[in-house]
Amino acid sequence: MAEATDLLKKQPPAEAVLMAGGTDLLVRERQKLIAFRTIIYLRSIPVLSEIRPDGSGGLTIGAMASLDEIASHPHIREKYPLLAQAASAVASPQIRHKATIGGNLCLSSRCWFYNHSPFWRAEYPECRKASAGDKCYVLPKSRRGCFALQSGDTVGPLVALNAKVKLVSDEGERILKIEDLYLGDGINYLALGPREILTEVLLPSPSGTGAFIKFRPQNNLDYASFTLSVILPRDGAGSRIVVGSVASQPLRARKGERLLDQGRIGIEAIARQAAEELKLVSFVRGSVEFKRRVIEAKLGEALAAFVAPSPQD
Amino acid sequence: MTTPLNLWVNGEPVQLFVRDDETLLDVLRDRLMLTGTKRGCGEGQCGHCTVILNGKSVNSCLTLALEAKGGQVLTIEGLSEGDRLHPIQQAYAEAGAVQCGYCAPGMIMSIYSLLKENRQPDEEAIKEGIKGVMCRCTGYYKVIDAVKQVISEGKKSE
Repeated sequence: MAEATDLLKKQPPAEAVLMAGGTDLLVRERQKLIAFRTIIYLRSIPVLSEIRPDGSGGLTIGAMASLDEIASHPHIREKYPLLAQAASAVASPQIRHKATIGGNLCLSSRCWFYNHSPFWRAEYPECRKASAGDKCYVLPKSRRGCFALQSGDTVGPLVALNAKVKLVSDEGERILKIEDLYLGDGINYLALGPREILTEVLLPSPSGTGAFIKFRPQNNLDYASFTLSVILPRDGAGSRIVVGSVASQPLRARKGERLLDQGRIGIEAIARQAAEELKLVSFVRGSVEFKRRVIEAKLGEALAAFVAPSPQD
Repeated sequence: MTTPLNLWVNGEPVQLFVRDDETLLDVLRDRLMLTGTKRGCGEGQCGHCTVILNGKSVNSCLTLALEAKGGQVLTIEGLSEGDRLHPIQQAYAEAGAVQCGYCAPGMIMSIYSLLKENRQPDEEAIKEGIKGVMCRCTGYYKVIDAVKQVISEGKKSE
């Protein structure tokens, strides 16, 4: 590990990249979205793949644990089913055998106008993320910013589970709430510094029941149109409704969460409130109106599965 | 710059020098002339380059050759024993799951990996297991039939 942070420190910035499973990095390299001279291959550090209890009821997952290992890990399946389900919803078995949780969390933000070959992108020459242009093809009227989407399926469940991540550099380490890892801009999307490596995901002891839904047009290898992660704690307060893959950061429906905590109104009203308060953008994978309606419907389904119906229903 | 690479391919030790940016697929096809493994999209979507690395199916186009250092690689060429087809290959032929044949090596290696992890997958699990390989001919049903045949023959021989 010390060797990795040392290497990262010594390389000129922008020449070295960290590689985990490589299932996204190598694709972006071929699409000429990224160029580098040195790869620091993190999967050769065995300790980073460990999954172990943290001694106080929680779990520590090494960033290089593969999505397949997480999806099939008996303890994760039993105690953190949302995370196991999200890991198993990513792409194909081949990809899950290589892709890691750390890579999924740091996955580059994605956009229909950006993640393509140079030939295809030539039609969109002013994209702010792909070139130094000053246009966003998603929101052409926007003056600044990039709306590429946070797309890792495991992000939503980890926010719902109140997870943290450990970031290590040659100068020390820090622990960040997973929500704070995402900055909300499609270009500058991660709070990870240029010399930092995400080494561990820290899960607190499980607090209640939950549900995870990945919605995509077909059950194929595709990225999500959105993900929904819901947690209902055993002792009432602290519900979480997290929607992933609809913005450059995972979104929490805080008003919906409060209504869920209070538990006085019906499932349908909570789902409607949660879907309405989200700030969405129209994308090729769905207009704002379409997404809002499907999120409302799917959230209703998810809640109905484990929330006792209230008298108004 | 080249780096020495030692690995096992279909049970045989292999030693060669590779460029750092060479993929496992490049090494298998262009250096070792194991052209059974097919090159498709180069982006992990079609799965035609699927091989088994250390017991797990991977897209060899998204695997750098150096990632396989010291590893065990199994390709479609290593599946049959001489003229005797592997049970998956046999069932594949009998079920008519080969049409143009381009996806067959990747598909068969995916099924190999699936059955290694789950000896009796139900239809849903079979679909999930072969999801990583794209077939534009069969509509997948003949492939699923082939997997079911392997499972039922496995039961008979137990």
